[in-house]
Amino acid sequence: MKRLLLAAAFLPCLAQAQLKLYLLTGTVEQPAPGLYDVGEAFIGDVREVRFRVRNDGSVKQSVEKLLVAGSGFVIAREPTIPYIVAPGSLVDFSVRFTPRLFGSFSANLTMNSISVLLLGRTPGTLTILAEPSRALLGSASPLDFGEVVRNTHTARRVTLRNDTPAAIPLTKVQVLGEAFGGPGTVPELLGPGASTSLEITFKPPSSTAQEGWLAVNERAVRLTGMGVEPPFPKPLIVLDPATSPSGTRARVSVRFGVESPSSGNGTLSMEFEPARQGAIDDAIQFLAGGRSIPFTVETGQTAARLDGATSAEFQVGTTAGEIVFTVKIGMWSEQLRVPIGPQAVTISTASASRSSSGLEINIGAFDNTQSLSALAFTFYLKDGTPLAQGPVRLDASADFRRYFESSNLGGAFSLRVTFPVSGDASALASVEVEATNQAGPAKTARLIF
Amino acid sequence: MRSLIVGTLLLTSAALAQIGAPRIGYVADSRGDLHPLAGLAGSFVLESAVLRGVEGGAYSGMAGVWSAADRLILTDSEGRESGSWPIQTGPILVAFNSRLEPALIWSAGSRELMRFPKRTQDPTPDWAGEPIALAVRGPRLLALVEQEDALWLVESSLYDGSVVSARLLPAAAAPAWIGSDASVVYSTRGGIAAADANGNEQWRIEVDGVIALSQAGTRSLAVRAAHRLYLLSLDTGELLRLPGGAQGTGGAE
Repeated sequence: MKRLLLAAAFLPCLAQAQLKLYLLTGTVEQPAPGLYDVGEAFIGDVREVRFRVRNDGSVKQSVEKLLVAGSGFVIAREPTIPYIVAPGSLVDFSVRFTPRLFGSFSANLTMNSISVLLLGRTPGTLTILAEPSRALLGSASPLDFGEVVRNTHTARRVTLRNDTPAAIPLTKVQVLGEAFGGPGTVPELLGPGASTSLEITFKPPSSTAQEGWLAVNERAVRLTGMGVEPPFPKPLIVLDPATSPSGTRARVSVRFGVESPSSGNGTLSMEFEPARQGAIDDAIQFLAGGRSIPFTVETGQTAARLDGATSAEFQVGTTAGEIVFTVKIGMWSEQLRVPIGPQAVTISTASASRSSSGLEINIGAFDNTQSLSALAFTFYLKDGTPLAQGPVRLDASADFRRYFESSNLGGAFSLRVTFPVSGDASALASVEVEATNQAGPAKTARLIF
Repeated sequence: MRSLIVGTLLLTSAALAQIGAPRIGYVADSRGDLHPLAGLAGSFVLESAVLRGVEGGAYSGMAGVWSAADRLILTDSEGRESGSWPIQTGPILVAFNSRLEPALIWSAGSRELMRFPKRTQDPTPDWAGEPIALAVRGPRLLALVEQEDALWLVESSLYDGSVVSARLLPAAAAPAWIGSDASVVYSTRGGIAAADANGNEQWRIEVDGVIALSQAGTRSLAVRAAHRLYLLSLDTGELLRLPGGAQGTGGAE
């Protein structure tokens, strides 16, 4: 062993001309010795030593080899090898001493042709293991309880094992932290090879991250866990009325079959799948604005609050298709598909007037099938009889198709039809307008000139 | 006679059909963005803003008049700017003529009554209060005037500004609107109400916290209430909330 140490002490002399290895303590660099004792680390703990490779020369150099050979030591934060170090530049890496057994350890750190013998050892303390994984617990390895519903509890077992050749008294075994409990009764002494099992409980008082400590003699293991709200009951999307034709408004609410055990937030969104491919209907939206609306749920409530109420109003729009509502809260994502069936043309406003050049008819309407093809105008004389020639018919299908293909208002349209009149049209008293789409014809009342 | 009509209507193969988007008017949101309001009753869409920085104004169905910082802006039916002039900062009131063109504009900032289109200064009537709405009926200027907590309908001559009559509107409060037929829409304790030219109440609607009324279209008003923006049909008295209108301000303060 002495010969090995002696040889190691001379190894740095073999350093390459420009690439040098330094030991970093804070920001202080010192040339790496041939032998370095990293000290003690508890089983399961980590002790990290930082090194720096510096190129003090005038030409670039390459780190071709960087490894640590031996038990209990690993390289961390290392550069990708080969790594070019420019003149005057540097690169850092670390070596971690992570003993998993009781005893003394050594390893050779090699950077290109430079070697450093690393030494480390574990003090005579207990090994702390998480059950059932048997994972080592230490300063860098906390015992995590995961997510637990607030005010409910879970428990994990921890084994204390004496891997040393001497008996170890248990002078302090204590669980700290508001959300954590345990460890119950523990023996006063653990002989060589003996072990004991502890139960640590976790009961988060609130829906927040929790932290505690398990103190075992001079060691401390961090305890972590997350308190979460109880899961929400399955949400239901409820429409009022259950079905709504185009051109109307309706209300939608988010309800639960049972009282919600927790408070939280969710979103209710709506998408539109038009019957006519490519149709756009921006009127389909919540009155609160847009197609997504946040909501809140309070503990003990069976309905969510949206837009300041227990339901949100939305516009059904003027296009046939399906409105798809999606509610998302907690783990839930539920959908409700609402079919909007085809309708005959619905006329909202209609008027007829005389102008100096003829007759003018103005209509505000919607065709939710976007298939309006024929218009017919039946004129009536003052005595109420229709003109003998019959209705005047217009094929407006091409014009309507062009309009609907470029509109973002769904099936809504305004129509202005002017009839040039060269003679006295005052004998005409009224007109009826009939509009036909694939769902059938629709007619206005008689519009008085 | 009948044969003439039939003959006339035989020409209707030349009938002209114009199809377009149903446009209702213009509404400004709380950020001062002026949006075209399109669609049909119950299926509204507030389209992309055509003007920004709007503080108040009105739209007749043919033309809009808007105040923005220190400018007075006229817009056409497409929302395009058709004129702009410097103006003293402050609310404006707009009265349209029967052709729906701006006729008179009251600038509260400069306390001037401007006649359009020449922008000449008109004599200011002795309102004995603060005007909150204007309309023009023939040779008369109709003004809703707030005097202390009461609302008066003051009629004055457009020729010399002399006050012709003044009538108290019982139970009426600001904000309010007046049409050229002297019909009025005004705020009440719990909402808004409408009265005809004779002061007879036509309808009453409950709505919380009305803040502003302004003309948004030919026969419609934008109603701004607490956290809500509505469209009021002057024909039906129907009040419909506008989508996304929580931040809206309506056409004018």
